[in-house]
Order: sequence, then C-alpha cells, then structure tokens
Amino acid sequence: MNNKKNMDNLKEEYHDMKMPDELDDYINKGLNRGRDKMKKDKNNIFKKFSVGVAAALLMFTVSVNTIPGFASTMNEVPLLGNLVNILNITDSEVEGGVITDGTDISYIGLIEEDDADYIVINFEDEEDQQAFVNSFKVDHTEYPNTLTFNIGGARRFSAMEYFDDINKSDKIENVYNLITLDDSLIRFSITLKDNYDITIKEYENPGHMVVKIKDSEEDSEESSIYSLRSKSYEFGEQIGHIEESIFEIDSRRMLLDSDGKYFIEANYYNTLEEAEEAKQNLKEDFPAIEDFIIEERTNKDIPSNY
Amino acid sequence: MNDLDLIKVKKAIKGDDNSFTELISSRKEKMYRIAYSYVKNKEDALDVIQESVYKAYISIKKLKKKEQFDSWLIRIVINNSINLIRANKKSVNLEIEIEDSKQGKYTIDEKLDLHSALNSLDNKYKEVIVLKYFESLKFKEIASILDIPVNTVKTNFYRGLDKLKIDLKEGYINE
Repeated sequence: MNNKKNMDNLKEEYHDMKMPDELDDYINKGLNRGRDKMKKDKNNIFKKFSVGVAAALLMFTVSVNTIPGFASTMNEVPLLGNLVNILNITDSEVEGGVITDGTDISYIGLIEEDDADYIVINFEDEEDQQAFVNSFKVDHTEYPNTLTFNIGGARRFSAMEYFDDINKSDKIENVYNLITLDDSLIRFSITLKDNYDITIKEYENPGHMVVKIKDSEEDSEESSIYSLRSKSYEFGEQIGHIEESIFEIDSRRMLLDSDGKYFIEANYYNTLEEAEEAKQNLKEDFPAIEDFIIEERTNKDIPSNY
Repeated sequence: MNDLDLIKVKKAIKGDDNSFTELISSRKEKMYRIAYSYVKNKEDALDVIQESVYKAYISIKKLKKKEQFDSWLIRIVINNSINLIRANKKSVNLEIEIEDSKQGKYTIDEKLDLHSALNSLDNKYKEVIVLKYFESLKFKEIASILDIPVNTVKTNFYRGLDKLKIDLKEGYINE
C-alpha cells in the first residue's frame, strides 16, 4: 500500500467531510449569544457610567441653570449628552476619546459667557452624530499660548467653515488648520491672547467636546524666548515634509505666522546662545535644521513671517 | 485573504454585524473540519463551533491586524476544541468517526488504518499535519496560530509524517 497515496486519500476525505445539517443552527446560536452579550455589555457601560458621573452631571445641570444664556444656546448647539471626562490642562497635554475611523469633525462653535468662553466641537460618522468623541490629544504650549488639537480617526473637517465664528472670541487670536501627512489625523490650533485656565469636557451620546477658556489668576511671562524655527511656507505638503524630517524631536510644533503662513519650530530656548548651540547640535542628526532661523519672541508676540 | 474579505474584517472590527456573519458563514466548513479533527465527534464539534463563533463575535473588536483574521479564528476554534477535550475527557470513538466520514472508494480497513494511525499520534504532531497538510496553511501561519516557533512547527510536521509512516508500516507488518 502506498502511504503517500493514502495520505492524499485521507486529505480528500478530510475535505469531503460531511457537514451536519445542524451546522448553521449552531453558527446562529453562537452569533445570537454574541449579540446578546454585546447588548448587555453596552447597557452595563451606561449603567456604570451614569452612577460614576452623577455628581459631575449635577454640576453641569447647575451651571446650565445658573449661567444666563447658557441654556438658551443649548437649542442651537447640541450640548446634551453624558459627561465622560473632565480634563484640566495644567501644562502640556491631555488625552481622551474613543478610537474611530472616517469621522467628520462636523461643527465647532463658540459660546461667550461672562466668566469664560466655551468652544464646542461635534463629531459625525457616516450617518449621524457620533456617540463618542474621537480619540484626541490636546497640547498646550506657550510662546504663543497655543492649544493644538490632534484628532485621530477623522477624515473630514467640515467644522473649518465655522472658524470665523471662533475668531469672534476676544480671548482667541486665531484658529487654524494644520497639514498632516497622516490622512486619518486632523489637527488644528487655537492661538490664545493670554494665559487662561483651560478645561476640556468630553461628552458621549452625542459625542462632543467642550473647551472652557477662563481668565487665569496667573500673569503671563514677559520675558523673551529664542525660537529655533524654519522659514514660513504656504499650507501644503512642503511644510508637512519639514515636520516629518524632524519627527523625532518631541518639542516640535507647527505654528502660524503673522502673515498666515506656516513654519515648524524645533524648540525654544531662554537665551540666544542656547538656541545657537542647539542648532549646531541638532543639524547633525536633522539636516533640515541647517536652514532654520532663530527668532526672539515674547509670550504675546505672534511669530513673524520669514 | 482577498480584498473583499479584508474590507469585511475591517467593518466587522468596527462592529458591523453583517460583515462578521458573512465572514463566519464562508468559513464554517473549515471551522467544523478543524474542530472535528480535534474532538472527533459531531456533537462536540458543533458545540465547539457555537462557542467559537460566540467568542469571536465578542472579541473581534480587539483584533489588531485585519490580515490575521483567519489565523485568529482558527486559533479560537483550536483553543475551544482543546478546552472541550479537557472538560469531558471523552475517549475517542472510532465507530462514530467512520460513520460520519463519507463512504468512498476505499475500504473501511484502509481508512481505519490511516485514521487510527493519525489519531494515535501525539496531539502536537497531529495538529500541524491537519493544519499543514489538510488545511494547506503556511508554516508561519501555523506557528502564529499555535503560538510556537516556526522551527518547532516544521519539526513536528516532519516527525509526525515520519511517525505516521512507521506506524502504518508496523501495522502492515503485524498483519
């Protein structure tokens, strides 16, 4: 008897294995159990969630009732929803949200109140308002005071058409879109006129973010810094490539100059000497730094066009 | 995996029920065959299928690489098969097996020899032979499914084949 031939027979037999009539029933049982389980888990999340943030929601209700005008704007801006997270930007960055894909950052709005300005950001998926906020990271940097929003899993940015509304805030210098070579990431920055206390609230059902910009007790620094930065470029791939070429430098950021053009800043330093030394050191690893210039700015200066 | 399936996997990870159902439906026979090769009876294989579909449904959102859907699914089936074997410690019943397999051109004796030879192999040899020889998976894929080094897969496969030949020969000699 030929073993090889017999193995082939066995293989054939394996593939000819008779499928029991009940196979589909069992597949469906498994699917239905999965569906039930997911439904139950989803409900549990809401249950756990609503207990956990009851206090926070209560506070929110109070503020809705006590801030004049807040309640009335509720009709225009969908501020409803469950609070997921309150994030205080103390120094550098905060993160939150849920991983999504193909979202549209659909709306950005400004609500001006006596104590603070509120910026509302909404998200839509293919059909409707998205239940959750996209995964996000917000960086807070100085010179100039800037909030940079990095929103993951977003492919469209319809909210850009509302940028002019945001500029009406007397706390905001400007708001601008940043080019990114990663097509699932959307970034934009808000330049603030002064030091403010920033609080970000994340909501679900529907998913939206509310950024509270409140006058700060602390005065902003008056001293100058020395920025190691690139020349200015139009919004486009070129500036994206410069950023990529120094991607390993964590302090890098993309900023808008006084002329509406973009540049990349590698870092800033307290003295001109430090900045020059850093340039010498960095250009060995990052040839693009060779063309960078050093600019002196205070916290309230908008970077110049070079 | 073809592009259409990749799209379905992507959708399924995001929670699309239809895509997941279609993916499972087109793989149900393969899942059943693998489960059967472990548990060796219809009832247990069906239980394994149900449990595997359930586990896959609730954990697909955690699948990180969509290209690995097939390996991931087979792994779930194998894990559930092993769990079930451990749970009921049932002894293999050869009669059921022959009853279930398609009656073909070969005599029951011939089948019985190969079946019993294959089934008497250690699990570590048998599973790589089933996956490599019957399901035509690559050594690399088997390694990732079973979570063992590629070299171990190869060793077990060739040793398994060797053992199979030896066992068969011995069987005939004894005849």
